[in-house]
Amino acid sequence: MTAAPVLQQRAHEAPASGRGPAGLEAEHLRIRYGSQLALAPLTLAIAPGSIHGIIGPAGSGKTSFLRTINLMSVELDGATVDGVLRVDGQDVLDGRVLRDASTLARLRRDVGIVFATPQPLPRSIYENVAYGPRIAGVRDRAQLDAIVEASLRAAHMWDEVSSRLTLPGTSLSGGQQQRLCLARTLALDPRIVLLDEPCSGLDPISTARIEDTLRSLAHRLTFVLVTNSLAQARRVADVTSFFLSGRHVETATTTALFESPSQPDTHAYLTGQFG
Amino acid sequence: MIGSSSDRTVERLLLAAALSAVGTLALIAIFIAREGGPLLLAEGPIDMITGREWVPTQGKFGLLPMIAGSAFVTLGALAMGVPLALACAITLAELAPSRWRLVLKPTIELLAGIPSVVYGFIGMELLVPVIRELPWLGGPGYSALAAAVLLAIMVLPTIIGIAVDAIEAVPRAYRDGSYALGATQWQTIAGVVLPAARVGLVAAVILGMGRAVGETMAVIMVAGNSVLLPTSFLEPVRTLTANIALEMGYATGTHEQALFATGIVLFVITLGLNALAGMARRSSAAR
Amino acid sequence: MNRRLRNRLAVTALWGATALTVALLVLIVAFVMQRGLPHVSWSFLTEAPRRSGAEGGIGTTIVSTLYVTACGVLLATPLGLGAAIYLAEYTADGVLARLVRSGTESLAGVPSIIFGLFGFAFFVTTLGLGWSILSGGLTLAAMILPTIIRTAEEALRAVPVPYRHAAQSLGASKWDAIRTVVLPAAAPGIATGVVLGIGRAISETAAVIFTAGVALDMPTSLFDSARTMSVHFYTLTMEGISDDMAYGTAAVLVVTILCINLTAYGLTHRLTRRFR
Repeated sequence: MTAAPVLQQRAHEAPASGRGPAGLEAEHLRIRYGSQLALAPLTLAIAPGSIHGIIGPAGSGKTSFLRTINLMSVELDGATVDGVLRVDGQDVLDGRVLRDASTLARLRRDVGIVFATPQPLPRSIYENVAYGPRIAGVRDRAQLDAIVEASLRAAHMWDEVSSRLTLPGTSLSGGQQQRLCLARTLALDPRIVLLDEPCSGLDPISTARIEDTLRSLAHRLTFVLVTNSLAQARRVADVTSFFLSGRHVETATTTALFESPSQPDTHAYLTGQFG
Repeated sequence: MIGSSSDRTVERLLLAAALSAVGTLALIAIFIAREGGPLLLAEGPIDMITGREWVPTQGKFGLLPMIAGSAFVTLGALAMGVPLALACAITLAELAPSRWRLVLKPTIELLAGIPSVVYGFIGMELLVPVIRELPWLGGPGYSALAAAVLLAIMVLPTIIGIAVDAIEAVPRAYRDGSYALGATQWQTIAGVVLPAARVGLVAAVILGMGRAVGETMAVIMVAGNSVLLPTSFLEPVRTLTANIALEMGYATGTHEQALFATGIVLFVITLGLNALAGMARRSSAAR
Repeated sequence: MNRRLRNRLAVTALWGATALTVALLVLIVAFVMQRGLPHVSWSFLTEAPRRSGAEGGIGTTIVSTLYVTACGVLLATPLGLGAAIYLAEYTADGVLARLVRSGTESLAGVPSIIFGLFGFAFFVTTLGLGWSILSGGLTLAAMILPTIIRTAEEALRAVPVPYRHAAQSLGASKWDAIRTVVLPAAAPGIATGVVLGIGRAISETAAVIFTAGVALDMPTSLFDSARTMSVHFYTLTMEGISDDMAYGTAAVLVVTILCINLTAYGLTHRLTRRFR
């Protein structure tokens, strides 16, 4: 595996490698936890290279959907999923992916995730970012150094931490930790990055930095951003979906959704009639 | 590529390791039963347990004196040790500020670390002469009383440890409610906390009992080891454990089998006590 | 007033009981130290016993203790750690988990003399290993297995679940995540368990005497019989060979246990500090 080529490019250059952003297609995707329905059958397409926002109140199925994209809901949360979910054309719900350790690992590298609460590993900053590449087999120190620097730069935090890479990840502030988590995801050269309410509880500066990262990497990566903040969705997302009580209500370009939603529920949510 | 190691193989290996504890237990049970079972069945368990004479060379395998010995020593130890242990547990869990606890708890746990042979030795040097000399005690000194005192000290950490857990598990709300009604600390402890922790405390005592019954070396060194049925605490006694340890070195043939049979009785008793304690702990945790 | 008085009395009595318990410990340790330390010297620690232990030192018994303990710990640790990992990471609360747990609990409650009987019947006789370091080590391994399993499982469970999820979301398999993140984080706790197991093994007498035997010579192979410190101490006292030697050995035993407990305590302290 070579150093993340995507990250080393400047914004105006065309992608040099064959890896580009991947698209996502869900067809009749249904998610259950035991007998409880978390997401009613969903059909949705997410374009490659877009920033796709997902809004909706708590319990609407947004996180279940997100965690299904990299199969964490199935492997770790005990969810049962039916339907088809294609990542870059490949159905990941085909049982083979879950059973084979190396295909699952590859999926996790292609589809990165940033959780709502920053979860730095109990290691140094450097090792946090290098963890993914090491697991994938990168051994050469120079390569790892390059990947770590590129990832931290892409997350707009290289200047802050370059002099203290050996300090533990937990010594950073909350906002920095979250950007660290984003950086370590980027270290794997993903094609889709999932973000589960990444800025909840973060200060405005950290939030802005993360949003800057998303914008600067747009078109190179596909982002699926679950967010509680309508303002953030408006700022960052190209296309936004609205979920309510385990149901996908509608999807449109962000401006269209916010200014003229076609569903009454969407309108009610956007005007703050319920939270 | 690192990371493609088969998760399932690892899981199977770990499962095998997990079964090792159960397997060992089963192995122990099998072997003890194999060596002692035939004799136990031949003599009849009831006859062995109620038989008053232990003279293996003459084919007499009565275990009653040893069962009585174990009972005297264990019950004596509990009578002295349980109140002391409970008092310590209450102090640790309710009265002591957390800084003191950090020091006290390991100190008491240290008691558990001292080898039983050292306890036995101290018993020989200090306790036995004292019992012998004291006018209202007397006797040879090597007695059930000496063993009971030693065991009381030795089981303290076991009982304290579990009792503290049981007391701490009592919800804060119970205490708060009692204080809100104007009760003093002692009234709250005695009236609310201890009854609520009742089941866990019982478990602690049962486990302490199990430890006392299973203790060998210290008991051998101070209990006197006479095979006569004891009638008072000042008389020398022999426990089930001592019976095995003392004669194992030279026993052969049916004598050896009889010792294994003693082992079966001991094994069943301690396993039973452990199971009881386990049930008690699980039911108190379920609340 | 009566209530307050009763409260005062009760609290005083409780503290008194605790003070008594601590005093007992201090007295026991002090007694052994005072009578025993004067006899402990470098030659005491290194010379072999002569005339059944009445003269010389305890050098060979220290070496024997090291061998037998090492044997037991080296066998019990991988097994115990594997079992703990399985319990903490691979099962929820199924029948299997409950079986393993009750098996471990029961094993923990088996008296040491029964281990001695078992070790004698199985290792010494049936497997034909004879009175040897190996027999003693295997028996001790069975004895300390529950301690290691229990402590290691607690240490593993104390590692926050999000660490595992984070590692797996980065492409690590379940075992990779355990190996690279969970185990290192739980290491101090696991080490505590091992240290406690070592302490138990060193103080053990009844199980060792019937499996490792009582030979006083310096052991040269795993199949040699060897007399450990605690067995030697027992022999010295029961056969009245030498009070001085006995006290000296007792002092060495107690100091060793003290150091081991302090180490274990220090390790647990490090563990709790990590996750603050």
